[in-house]
Amino acid sequence: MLPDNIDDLFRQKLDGHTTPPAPDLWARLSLPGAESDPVDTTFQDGLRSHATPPRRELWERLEDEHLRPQPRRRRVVAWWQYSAAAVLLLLLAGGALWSGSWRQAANSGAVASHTGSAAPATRQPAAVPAASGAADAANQPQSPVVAPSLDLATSTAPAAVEKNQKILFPQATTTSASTSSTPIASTARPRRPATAPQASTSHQPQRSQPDAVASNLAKQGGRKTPAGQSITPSPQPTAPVVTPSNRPDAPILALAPVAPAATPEIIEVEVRRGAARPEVAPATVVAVADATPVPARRRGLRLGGLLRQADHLVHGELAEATGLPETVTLQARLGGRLVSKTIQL
Amino acid sequence: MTSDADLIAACLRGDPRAQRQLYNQFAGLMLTVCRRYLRRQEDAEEALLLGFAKVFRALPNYRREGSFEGWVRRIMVNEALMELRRREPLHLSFEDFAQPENLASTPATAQTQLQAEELMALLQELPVGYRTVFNLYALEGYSHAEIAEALGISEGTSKSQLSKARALLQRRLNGGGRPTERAAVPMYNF
Repeated sequence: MLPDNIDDLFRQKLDGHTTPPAPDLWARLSLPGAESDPVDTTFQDGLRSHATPPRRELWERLEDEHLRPQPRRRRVVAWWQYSAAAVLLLLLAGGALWSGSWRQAANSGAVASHTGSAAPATRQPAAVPAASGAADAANQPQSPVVAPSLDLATSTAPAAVEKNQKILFPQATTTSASTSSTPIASTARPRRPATAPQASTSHQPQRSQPDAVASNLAKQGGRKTPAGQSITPSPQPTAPVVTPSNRPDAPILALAPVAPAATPEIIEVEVRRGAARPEVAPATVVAVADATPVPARRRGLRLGGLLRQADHLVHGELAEATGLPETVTLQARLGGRLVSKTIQL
Repeated sequence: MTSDADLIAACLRGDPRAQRQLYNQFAGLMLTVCRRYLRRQEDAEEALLLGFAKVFRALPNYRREGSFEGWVRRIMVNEALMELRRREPLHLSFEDFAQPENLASTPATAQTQLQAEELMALLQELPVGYRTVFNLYALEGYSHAEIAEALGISEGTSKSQLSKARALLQRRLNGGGRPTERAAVPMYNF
């Protein structure tokens, strides 16, 4: 066959011949406006309104993690704050109880005369007369120191109590002249009774003055200064509060004559170790207190003592607490009236 | 029954009940959307969660153009795609597109009787690339350009994936394809 014939053959056979395209070719063009594929339509129709119910926890998670996460945290923080505040309050309350019990324990056992916490002002006036004999007073830190020894002595034997009382009285006179530091020392005693005997032995009373006054002074300052510290004369003169005539009932106290007291109201307080059985309680102490309000400094001391107690508790110094008597009897004479109160520690 | 506008306004005020109502209104639909993209139910729920968080955050920016459901759905789709990237990263192999596959399409006849869950199962059996492009194009109405931008692929790839996804689905709708045949589809590695 000639080539011209071959060309004519293919031209005739293929000219105008169509090859049908695959049906998906149009879909693959995906021109806009093209008919939607039946598969697409099937899935669109089948799934358009289909809803899968979510688990209930999903909403809670959404709330907790995304919508309102802050309040939860605040709640947690608030809980911690509340618990911390509660612990602090408990500590403060415990410290207050401890300080109160210590004060009473010191009064009952050791301190012969205690100016009641309600009447610290009288202690200061007591220092006034002592100021005259300031030279002697410098040698006598004893009053604060003696108290703890008395505590121990009273609990063990009444004879020791008498000795202590003897010691206390002169101390009181000297302490009246002493400065405010002396009372601090006295309060420190109850905590460290071991140091007290040393001081008491080293310092013997040289002057005799009303015990009550001495004890008052001792109590005021005693907390902060250690028992062994020497007492410096107090800068603020205090008027003598106690006169022997005012306290006729107190058998324990051998009060030296004191200058006439200027304070009008005098309250005698007896603090005894144990229950309200005067004959059983070995150490009976008479405290003369003035009814004047507590000065601010005294409150500061109380707070300091409270914190110190908390510190002791934190450091596990519970030995002091065990030395406390279980009960303390407090007797007060208000004018001609006798009021007694037994406190269980 | 409150309208979408009222619901949105209440949600903007921070009303918890309105937020809950909005969630109840759309959660089921949107979970289906997320499930279409993500095989695992937990992943779909995670996407739903993050999507709703985004919806509530972005609610002040809603400009009320188009339907509110469409706006929510778009957010959910984006979130599902993000979750998909985290869980099932796409490993596109473009050479695979040249491989021939039986694209013979037969008219789907009985597929309309299929239940939604069966359709969901068919979708979830698809390879992730097929599934994603098919979802975006056929069910969400995205263009190939948008799909290409969203997935970081070319438009041609998107078109090819779509056609192959259709062919596979059609074959399975006709009962010609079993899930085991997926192994014969070498398009993507998951």
